[in-house]
Amino acid sequence: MLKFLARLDVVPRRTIYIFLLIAAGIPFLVPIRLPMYIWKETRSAFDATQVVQPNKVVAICSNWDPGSQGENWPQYEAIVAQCMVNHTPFIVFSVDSDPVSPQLAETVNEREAKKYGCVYGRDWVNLGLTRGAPLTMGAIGRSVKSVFQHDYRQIPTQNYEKLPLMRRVRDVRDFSCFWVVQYQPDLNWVVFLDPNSRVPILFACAGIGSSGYYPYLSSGQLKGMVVGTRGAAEYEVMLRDKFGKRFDDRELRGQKLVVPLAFGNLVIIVFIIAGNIGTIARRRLEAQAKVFR
Amino acid sequence: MKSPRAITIGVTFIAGLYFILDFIVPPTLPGASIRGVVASTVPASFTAKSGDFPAIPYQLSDQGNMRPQILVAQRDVLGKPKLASTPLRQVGPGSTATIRLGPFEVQRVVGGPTDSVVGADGIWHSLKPGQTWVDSATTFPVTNAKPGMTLYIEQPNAKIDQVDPGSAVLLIGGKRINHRLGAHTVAIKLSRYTAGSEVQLDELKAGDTVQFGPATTFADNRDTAAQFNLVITTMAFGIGILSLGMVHSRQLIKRPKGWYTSIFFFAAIVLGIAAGLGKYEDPGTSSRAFSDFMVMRVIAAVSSAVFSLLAFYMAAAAYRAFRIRNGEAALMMGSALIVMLGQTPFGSYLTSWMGERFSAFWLPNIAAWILRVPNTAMFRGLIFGIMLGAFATALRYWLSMERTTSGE
Amino acid sequence: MILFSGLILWKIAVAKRNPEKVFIRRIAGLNAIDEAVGRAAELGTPILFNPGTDDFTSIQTLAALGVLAHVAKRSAVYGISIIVTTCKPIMVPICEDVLRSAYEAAGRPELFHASDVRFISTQSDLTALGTAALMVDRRVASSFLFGAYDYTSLLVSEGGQLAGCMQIAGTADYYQIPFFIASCDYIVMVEELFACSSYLSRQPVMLGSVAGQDFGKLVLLGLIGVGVLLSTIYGLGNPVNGFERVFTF
Repeated sequence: MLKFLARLDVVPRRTIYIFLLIAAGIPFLVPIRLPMYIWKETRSAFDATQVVQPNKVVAICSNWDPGSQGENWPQYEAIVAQCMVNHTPFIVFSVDSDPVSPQLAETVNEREAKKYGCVYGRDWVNLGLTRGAPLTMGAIGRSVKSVFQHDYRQIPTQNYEKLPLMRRVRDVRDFSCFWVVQYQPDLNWVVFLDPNSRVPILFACAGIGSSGYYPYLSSGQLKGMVVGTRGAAEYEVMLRDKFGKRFDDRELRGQKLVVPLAFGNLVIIVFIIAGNIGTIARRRLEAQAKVFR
Repeated sequence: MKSPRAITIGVTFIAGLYFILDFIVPPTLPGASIRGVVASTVPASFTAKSGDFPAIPYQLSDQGNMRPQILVAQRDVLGKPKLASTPLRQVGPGSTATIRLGPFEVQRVVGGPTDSVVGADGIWHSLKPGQTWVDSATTFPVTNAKPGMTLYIEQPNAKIDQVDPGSAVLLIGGKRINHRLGAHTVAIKLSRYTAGSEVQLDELKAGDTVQFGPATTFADNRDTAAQFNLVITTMAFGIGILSLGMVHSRQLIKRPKGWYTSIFFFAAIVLGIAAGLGKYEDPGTSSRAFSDFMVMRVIAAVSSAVFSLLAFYMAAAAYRAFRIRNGEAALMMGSALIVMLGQTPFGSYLTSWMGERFSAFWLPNIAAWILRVPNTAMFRGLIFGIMLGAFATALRYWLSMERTTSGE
Repeated sequence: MILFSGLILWKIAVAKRNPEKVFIRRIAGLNAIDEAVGRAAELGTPILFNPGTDDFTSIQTLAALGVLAHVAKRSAVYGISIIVTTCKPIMVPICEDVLRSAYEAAGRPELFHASDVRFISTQSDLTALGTAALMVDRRVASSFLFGAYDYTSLLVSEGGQLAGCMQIAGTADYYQIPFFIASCDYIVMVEELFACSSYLSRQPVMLGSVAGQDFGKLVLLGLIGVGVLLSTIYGLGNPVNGFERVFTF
C-alpha cells in the first residue's frame, strides 16, 4: 500500500493535464448549476453601479483582451447588462490596452443593446483606445473630450446630434461610478483620476491578482471589486434577483464558466493532497529501508 | 566623453524636477494666494477684434451654452491641428483665438439668412461684424442658416483686445474684501474634504470657499509633457519592426535550419496591415469582414489558447510546489486550500449546512477573512517596501548615481 | 518625499565616508548568478535574459537592467553569449546599449551582436511562448527573468522548467511571485529586486541608498505604531485625533 501511495509523489504532468481536461470539460457537456455565495465586495460594486445619480453616466475602462477574456468577458457582459437593463447611460473606452479591446467591448455592447432596446449615442458611447497612461488618466479626469476627440466610429465627440450622451460628459464629476475591467487593473486610476472627486472606483479583475487590491478596498479607495469568473457569476445572480425576467441571461457566460472553474480547482486540490500523501509515504518507505539496512 | 554625459545628467535632472514639482507645487503660489468665502462676483470680460471690424465685447458669465469659449489652435497627439478650449488666464491682449458661442438649435430665421435667428430656447441670436455661423457637427462655416440646424456663432482668428479678469467680494475674517483678479490668476474652489480644483470665476457661487492666486503653469503644460512619452514610444515601435525585419531577412538569406518560419513572419506583417486597414471600414464591406475575421477568429482564438495553457501549467506547478516540508509550509498550504475552495461554489456547498448561526465558519467567510485581514496586512507591508525600493531606485536614476547600466 | 529623500541621501553620504559600515544581508538569488553563469560556461550554451513585460518607464525594468549589466560582465569573462528577449520595442536599443557597455567594460566588445536582443511580439503571451521556445531550441543553460511580469510569468518559467535550465527570477509584482517560486530555482522578491544593482556592484553610493530605504521603513513603522496607538486611544474618526486627519485624504 505504501509503495502505491509513494507513486503519488511523482505523478507525470500529462496525467494531471488529462484529469484537468476531463474535469473542466464535463460541465460543458452536462449542464450543471451550482449555488453561488455572494461576496461583500461584489455586492458593493453592484450597489454602486445600481445607484446612479441623475444626469451622470457610468464610465467603463474596458482594457481586457483576448488573453484575459476567460475572466473579464463575463464580468464586462454583466456590467453592461446591468447598465442596459436600467437604461443607465455609460461610456466605454480603453487606455494603453490591446488594440482589439474596443472591438471586443463593442461586440458585447451591440449584442446586449439588441436585448434591451438601447441605442448607440443615446444610451452608450464607445470612445475607442487612447495611450499614455498614467498622465492620460488625469487628462480623462479633467476633460474627457480633450482626450477623445472622436469615438470608436470616428464621430466627433462634440457632435451632439449623433452623440447626445456626450453633451453631459465633461469630466470626472459627471461620472456616477468608474469601472476598470482588466486582467490586472492599474492602481494609477486611484491616484490620477482625480481622487478629489470622490467617484466610486470599481475594479473587475482576474482572480489571481485580486489579493493585491484588498488593502485598497479596506481603505475605501476602491468601493467594490468583481473577482474573476466567480464574481461575474455572482453578479448575474444579483441581476436575476433584482430584475427577474427583465434580465436576459442568454449568451452570458459567468454562471456557465464558474462550474468548470470549480471542478478544475477541485482537481488541483485533489492532486496537491495526493502529492503530499505520496511524499509522506515515500519518506516512510525510505525510513523503513534504512531500518532494514 | 564627459561633456555629453554632463548634458544627459542635466537634462535628466531637469525633466525629473519638472514632473516632481508638477505634483508637489499647487496650481497657485502658496505665499501669494488669498483665501475666503465668496459673497459675490463680477464676471470676467474681454473684447476681441477681427480685421477691420469693431471689437466685440464678450462676458464670461453663466449663460449656459452661450457662454463664450476661447479656442486656441493646438496639435493633438497625432499632430493634427485642433481647437482646444482655454481659460482666459492663458490668453492675453494680443493673443489670437477663435471665440465660439453655442451650440443652439435654430427654430426660425428672421430677416436674411445671416441676419438673425431664433434659437429653440426662444432667444434671438444675431451676428456681429466679424462673426459667422458654424455648423456644430462639421465645424464648417454656414452661409445660410436654416431651421433645424445646430449652429455655433464663431469669431475666427480674433485678436484679444482688452481683458478684464473680473473681481470677487470675499468674506475674510468677518470683513468684506473686494479682490480684483490679475491676468494670470487661478481660482481654486475648496471644499471640506478635498484639495480643490480649478474653476472659472462665473462657476463660483455665494458661499463657496475659494483661493485666488497667481498660476504656476506646471499643470497647464502637463499634457504637452506627456506627449513626449507618446512620441518616443511610437518611434520605438518602428525600431522594433526594423529589428525583427533585419533578423528574419538574414534568416532568409543565410537559410539556416528552420529558415522557412521567417516567410511566415513577413506574411503575418502583410496580413496584419491588411486587417488593420479594414478596421474602421463600414460593417458589411469585405475589408471590414476580413479585419473582423482576423481579430475575432484568429488573434482572439490564439490568445485564448495561449492563456489556457496557464491553467495546465498552474496545476502542474501547484502539484510540484505545494509540499509540506515544515510548519510554515503546512500553514501556507492550509490557507491556500481554504481560499481556493472558498472561492468556488463548492466551498459554500460544503459548509452551508452549518446554518446562519455558524456562518462565520463557512468556507467562503473564512476565505474572505484570510483575504481581508492577514493578506491585507502582508500586502501593506509589501507595498511599503516596494514603494521605498522604487523611490530609492528612481532617486538614483534621477541624480545619475546609477552606474551599473553604463558599464562603469 | 523630502523626508525619505533626505534619509537616503544622508545614508549615501555616510556610506561614502565609511563604506565598511553598511551591511546588506545575503540574498541567495543574487549569489546564485555566478553559479548560473558557471553552468552556462560548462555546458557551452547561451544564457537567456528577459527584462519583463514592461518598458523603461517601469522602475522594475530599470532595476532589471542593472542585473543584465552585471550578468553580461560576468559572462563576458567566459565568452558566453546572452540572448535578451523583450515584448517592448523600445527596450531593444536600451538592452543593446547595456550589453554593449558591459562587454566593453569587460574588455570583450566583439561578443556583442545586435541580433542577440530580440523583440518578439508586442503581446506578452506570444513573447513568453517565443522565449520558452528559444530556451528549448538553443538549449539555454541558465535563464534570468527579472522585471515586471504579468500573467505570462508562468508561461516563461514553466517553459524554462521543461527545457531543464537553471532559472533565477526577480520581480516586485507580488502576484507573480508564487508562480516563480513554483517553477524557478532562485527568486529575488519584491524589494530585493531594487537592491540588486547595489548588492552586485558593492559601490558605496548604491549600498548607502539601500541602507537609506531601510531607515525609511523604520520611520514608516514608527508612524504606523503611533497611528495605531492614537486610533486605539481616541477611536477612528475622532476629530481630536489630528494625527489621523493629517494622514487621511
